[in-house]
Amino acid sequence: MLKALKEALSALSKPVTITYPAGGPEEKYSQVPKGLRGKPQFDDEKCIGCGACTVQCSSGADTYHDEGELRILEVKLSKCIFCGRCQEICPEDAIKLTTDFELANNVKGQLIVRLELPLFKCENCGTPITTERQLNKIEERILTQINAQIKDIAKEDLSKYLHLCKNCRRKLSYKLNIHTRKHYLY
Amino acid sequence: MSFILKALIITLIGFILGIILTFEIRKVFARAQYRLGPLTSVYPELKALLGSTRILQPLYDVLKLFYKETIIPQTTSKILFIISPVISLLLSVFSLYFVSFGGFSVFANRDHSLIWLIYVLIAITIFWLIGSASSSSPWAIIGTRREAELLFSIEFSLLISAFSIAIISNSLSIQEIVYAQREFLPFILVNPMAAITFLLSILGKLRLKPFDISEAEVEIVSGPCTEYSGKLLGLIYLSKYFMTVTLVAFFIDLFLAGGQISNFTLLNVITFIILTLIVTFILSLIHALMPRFKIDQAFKWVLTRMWPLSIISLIFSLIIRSLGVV
Amino acid sequence: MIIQANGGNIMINVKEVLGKLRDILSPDFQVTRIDRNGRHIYIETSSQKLLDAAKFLLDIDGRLIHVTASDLGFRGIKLLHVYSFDHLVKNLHLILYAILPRDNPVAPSTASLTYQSNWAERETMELMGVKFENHPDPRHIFLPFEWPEPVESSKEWKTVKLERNVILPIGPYHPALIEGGYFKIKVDGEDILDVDIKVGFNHRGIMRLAERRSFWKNVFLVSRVCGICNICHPLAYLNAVENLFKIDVPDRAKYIRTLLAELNRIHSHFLWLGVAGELIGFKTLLMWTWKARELVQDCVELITGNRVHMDAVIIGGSRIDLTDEMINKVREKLLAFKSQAERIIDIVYDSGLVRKRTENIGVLKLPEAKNAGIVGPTARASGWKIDVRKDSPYDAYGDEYTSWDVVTDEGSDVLARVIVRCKETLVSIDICMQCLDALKRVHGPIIHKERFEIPEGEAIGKSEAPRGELLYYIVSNGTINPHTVRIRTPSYRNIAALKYMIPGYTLADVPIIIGSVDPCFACTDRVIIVDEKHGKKQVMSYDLFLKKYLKRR
Repeated sequence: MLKALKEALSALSKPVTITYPAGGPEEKYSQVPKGLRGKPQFDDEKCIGCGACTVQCSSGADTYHDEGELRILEVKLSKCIFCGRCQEICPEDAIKLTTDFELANNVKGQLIVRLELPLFKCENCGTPITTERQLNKIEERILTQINAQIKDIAKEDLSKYLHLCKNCRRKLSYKLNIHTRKHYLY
Repeated sequence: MSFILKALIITLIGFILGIILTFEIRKVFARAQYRLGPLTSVYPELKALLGSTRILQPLYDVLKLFYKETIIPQTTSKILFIISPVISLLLSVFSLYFVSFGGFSVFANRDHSLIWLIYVLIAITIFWLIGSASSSSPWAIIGTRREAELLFSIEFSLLISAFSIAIISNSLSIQEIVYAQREFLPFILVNPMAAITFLLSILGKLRLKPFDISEAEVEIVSGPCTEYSGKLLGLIYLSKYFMTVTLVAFFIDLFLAGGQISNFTLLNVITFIILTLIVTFILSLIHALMPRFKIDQAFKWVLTRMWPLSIISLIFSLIIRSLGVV
Repeated sequence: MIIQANGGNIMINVKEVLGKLRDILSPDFQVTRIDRNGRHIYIETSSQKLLDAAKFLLDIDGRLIHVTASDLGFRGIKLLHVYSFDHLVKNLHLILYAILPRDNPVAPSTASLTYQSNWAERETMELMGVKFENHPDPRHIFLPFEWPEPVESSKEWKTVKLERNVILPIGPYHPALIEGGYFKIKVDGEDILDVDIKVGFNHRGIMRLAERRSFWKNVFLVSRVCGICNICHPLAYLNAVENLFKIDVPDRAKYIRTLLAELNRIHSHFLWLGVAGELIGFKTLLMWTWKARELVQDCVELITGNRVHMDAVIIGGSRIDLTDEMINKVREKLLAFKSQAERIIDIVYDSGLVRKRTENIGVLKLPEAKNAGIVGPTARASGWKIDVRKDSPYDAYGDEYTSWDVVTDEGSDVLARVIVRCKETLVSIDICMQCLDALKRVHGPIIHKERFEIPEGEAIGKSEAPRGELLYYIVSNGTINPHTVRIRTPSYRNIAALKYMIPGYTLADVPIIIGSVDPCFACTDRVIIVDEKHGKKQVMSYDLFLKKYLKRR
């Protein structure tokens, strides 16, 4: 009883209640650590529309669909569990988890993040392949990282095959007699 | 001064003191737990919203309850259900007139005011129990049974310790007891055992821990007050505020010379108020530090610890009186 | 001999056990899979022989930790009995299974031998349709009792002519219940005669959801089974998956995982201490313990970025790394917490009234405890020394990484459980400090980088939650989604054992007895039938009770 009395008497002058926002109005959120996993921020400029984040998303909040000329990437923040797997996998570092945790809203439309990226159409048949930016990025990456001796050959091949969809590419390789399947038929 | 004017002034003083003491109980309970509790001064950014102080928080609670709708269940006995809180409140206001607030009182200088006061205190609880027994909820029935058991055990020790003080001062009038202390010594030094049992009995009557068995939230929802809502619940709260003042003033009159250390009424009243704040602080600390008894454990504890102590204090005061010390 | 007494301890010889089992079960005995250096042994047998095996294995001090089933398509239904011997030989588990034909899945019930498999068999009857013969209590456990086609009509409850009665619902809207269950308590005055328990009011179907997501996504799903003990579910799941894929975790990741698990245990025990104080009316203890616990939550938020769901582990290691600055801050906060915790534990020990409310309440002595099947601190408070961290060591709990002792107590009542949890908190702080020191020494990768293939097969994995032993069973069919995931939580066993702990005490003791087991399940109804006249009992069947209850309103 005496120890409890001592603890109670020492507690009389030291309340631990702090005001909200944590830390007071001058230093907003000063008690929030830097690594807090809050709302993910999608960068419009850097995203290439590859869809890797939609495969990795643990809860299915991140989806994309192709509509007409655009690839539309939609992230439903009400379903997001802030795990950070999209941030790990993005090849362009376009996703960052900020420390913003005040996401309560009564208009559901405001909790959806939408990115629209133009699609690239096949030069031969016109079906959309993928986004323009992704094709440009693929070309850039190959040309910067490939062995210097075969760089010219690679550049020529890319200009021939990169802008075709896979059906047209298949037909073209039959025509030019370079399809790999021919090794299995004979 | 005329009778009625005194009664009105004392009702007003009792009301204000009741609110302040209830505020202090809640504030010390919260501060002992590292919390803030109701605020004496509000933060600057919240002043526009809340006003500048929350010291009248118990008053706001009662006023809020008076705004709400009173729901009376169909299966209760309606007359008893409605009348009992009203009678309980009237009796608790009536009990204020028997104690002296630093020399200022209505009936404290009559003979036998001690016995009147103890009757009224028992009647307050009994009418409250009648009201709760008439509500048809099973929680209320368990709560009433527990509270009645507690009432039986606590009232006895309160009675005996009050009587042992009356024996020392050879009078049953509260004002005479105070005058006897002014000549000799405050009775808390003469018979401390009676003081201890009286203080613990106050905990039992006010339903503070460790004796808040009838209001145990974890087991029975709200005990006897479960079916009350709105204005009737407000009346029950009010009667508890008045009873707080009465009991604390009773303790000070019996043991601490009623704060009447001089002949000036104003100085006496100020000393009285300071003493009420100190006694409430002690009560609230005990309330903050203890868990709750079970009803059979409480009954056993009161019978084996408090009853013998109060009987010993009675015998002690008899011995002192017969030896002619006082 | 199979059982040898070696200075007071019982030992068993694995080869002899297998030999004797082969004799009992022949000709239906075939060892199909061996894991973990020969300590997880899977034996296929026929359905009738499972009962004989149960009699033998329970006799030599085995623990029947789960009975479950997995659907193998046209091949039938695979019924599993998982026996654990790891309190005798480290890591040893014997898993007996039988493949039952799909059109008539009938198996003998082991619930008549021991109470441990009572609830597990009722669950398997509902989930998979397996019929158990001679089960003593074949009612539904997750579905309502009178669901179409009741498993078998229960003849237990009859109406008796009654004079006066008062019905007390401690139901869904009670201020005491944070999470509750359906306890049907038979009362005589204030003394309790019998109790019946039902769960399943918040069944979310996580085992089914896990079959539709890949192995990697399931780590995040499984962490949301519970909010308080939320890193031990991924750790048990990862133990099973890493057993199956045969990958090793690097050392630094082991220390990080252990540090997070122990921080979780500290915060859970202190949360429980506050709740137990509230249940006996000690509100101040609630505020003090939850204030001290904020320091631990600050540590967790600093390391992982979130206070509740850590999301910090993945297959093959951990996703986060600790910098030196973080290690120093965490150590500071843990030392501040330790001084506050010691003061609070002193106050709890000293308080005479806490002792009065908790001594000799809810007693469950050791031989009954073994039959009732309790796990975790509840079992350690009855003198039974079982702990997954010492018996089947995983991560950095083994002897070569950290050194610590298991806490037990002989009291077997609620006070002993309080003491065990308080002492375990102090041991956990010690383990955390050792891990923090080790993280400064050991450097290296935090995730297993080599490629691996997803094999077909099955595996079990265990971990020690703050409430007890947690078991996961995973079957994989070679694709990226698992075929079957089965979870058995420790509260499943502890709440079932409340049937032996509640009768014999009074009504005012019921909240603290239920709270002392540290239940972690969802909220429902609790019904108590009290009568005014002493000596008269009133027993009601469930539908008649509903009719009467509805009529009173």
